[in-house]
Amino acid sequence: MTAAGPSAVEDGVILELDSVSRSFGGVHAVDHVSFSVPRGEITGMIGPNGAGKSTLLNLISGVEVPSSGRIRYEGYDVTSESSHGHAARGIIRTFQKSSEFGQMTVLENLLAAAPNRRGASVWGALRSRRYWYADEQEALEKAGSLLEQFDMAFVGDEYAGRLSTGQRRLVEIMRALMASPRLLLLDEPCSGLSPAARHGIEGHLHRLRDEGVTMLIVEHELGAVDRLTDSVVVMAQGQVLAIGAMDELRENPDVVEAYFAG
Amino acid sequence: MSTALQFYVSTLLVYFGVNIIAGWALNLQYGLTGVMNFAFIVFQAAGAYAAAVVTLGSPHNSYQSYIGGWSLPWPLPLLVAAVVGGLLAWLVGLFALRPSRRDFQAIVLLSVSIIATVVVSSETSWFNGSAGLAAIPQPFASRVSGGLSAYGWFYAGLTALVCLATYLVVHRLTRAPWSRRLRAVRDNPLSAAAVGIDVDRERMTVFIVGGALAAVSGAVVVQFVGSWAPAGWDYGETFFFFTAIVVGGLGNNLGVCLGSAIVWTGLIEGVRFLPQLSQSNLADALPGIAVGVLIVGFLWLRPPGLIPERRRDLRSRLETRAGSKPGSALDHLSQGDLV
Repeated sequence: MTAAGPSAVEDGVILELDSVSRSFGGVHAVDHVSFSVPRGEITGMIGPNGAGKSTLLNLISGVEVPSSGRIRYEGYDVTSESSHGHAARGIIRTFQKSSEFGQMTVLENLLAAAPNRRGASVWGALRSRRYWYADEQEALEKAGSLLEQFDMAFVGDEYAGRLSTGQRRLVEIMRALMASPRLLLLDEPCSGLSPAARHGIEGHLHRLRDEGVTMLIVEHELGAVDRLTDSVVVMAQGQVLAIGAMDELRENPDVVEAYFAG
Repeated sequence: MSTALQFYVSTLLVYFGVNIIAGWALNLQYGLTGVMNFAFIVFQAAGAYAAAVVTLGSPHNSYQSYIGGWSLPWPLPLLVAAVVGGLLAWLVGLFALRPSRRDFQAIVLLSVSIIATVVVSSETSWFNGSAGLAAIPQPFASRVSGGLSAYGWFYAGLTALVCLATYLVVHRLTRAPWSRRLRAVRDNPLSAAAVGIDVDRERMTVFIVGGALAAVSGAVVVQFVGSWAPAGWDYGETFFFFTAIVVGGLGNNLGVCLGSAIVWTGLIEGVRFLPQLSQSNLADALPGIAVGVLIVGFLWLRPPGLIPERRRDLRSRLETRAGSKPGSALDHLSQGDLV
């Protein structure tokens, strides 16, 4: 983890934030935040409520546009790009509240995220089934493979809206993986889960990291942050308070005062 | 069957077909994509006017004022109507779909509907103002012998043909992967965008397709009834279409047929046969009251409608494929496929 300057993206850095700010009226939700995310690692983001974590995730994923500053991804300036534009580049996110496609089955949730398929446009859809079927089958098999790996094959044809909270979190993660992410942004993936479900998700995230997926995780549960992340960004009042490994941060008096003491 | 009854039944069939086409159009927009098109009736009206003015002869020899007057033969007026409906949808969509919130979109569209009626009623040079257009030629009328009832049956057949053609288009659209993207937009637009779906583009596309199909339904009806005026496409008509698809089943093409039969044919026609209970205008108001009660009742008690959206079972396709090979069909996928 390094403090980022305005220059080109360094080797080994997938995402670079340069003095990014976002204000709502007179409130500075994110205030001149600069840091970079190393490729292939899990970076955590922690901070008390209102610290600006979710807003920052919205900015990185294109849900909102920064008031000022620059966001570079793989060397490209993506500051003003739309959410689907970010996804097309490989920045895929999940949400704090479960955000599955509730009236679609689990398999359909996954297939909806498969990029660039024939039959996924109105013109492709108007052509005969032969035009898109092979492509669809390939995506279906990829979805089936994901279900197997996450031990979720048994709910493939269930409506996603009827699953438990833990299962819906897994659906969201699998759906994100269907979109072929290079940078996965996870907003509190373990919140509201039982210890067993949390442990299961942590296992999956470790496996994904080993497969080369870079992740930026916002998480409140410090135990999970400790077990999952390689380095952590601590935020308070819209600003970066400290960056480092969890062990170092516990020794940092500013961080202890702002976060751990609470 | 008397001639009058034959004509009545064939007219019901024509209207049934028209309402099914319109229902499928609205189902694409609202049932599948969640776009609350409260200006839906405007697109049907646009198709009706477009078909009328290209079917009518030159306005210079007419007692009515209108644009066009090209005397086009069937089915060209239907195609012109589809193009006009699609273009109008694109134009309206540019500003009406701009707010990301669906309720805001609905309010803008409702306003569009009200404004459209006022403008078309006031501007007499386009479509003869509030008096509307009349004496619109019926296709093949001179070639069908046997009087009113025979032509009624003939036109019901023609309507069935247009219905079939529309179904083929709608069926292709709703079974293809594209419909999954539309349903993703309906279920959760924010998540849909987060996995790479261009929500604005998909909404606009389905708005245009639905607008074109709604216009076709208008073209079919105007060429049968031979007249069209602003009083027939008041904004309230839109809610009859909404009721039909909610009752039948949102997102289900067959449900749309059933809902259209119940609401348009059963309810609105059915009240005509009720005995006159009083001298008040209650009988005229009954369809509106019944439709209001029906939509509230279904939204409370049975939101998916009578024939709910079909669940797409895909696991069997996966398992069939897996079973057809030695080992698992999933084996050949490496871990690298995940990222």
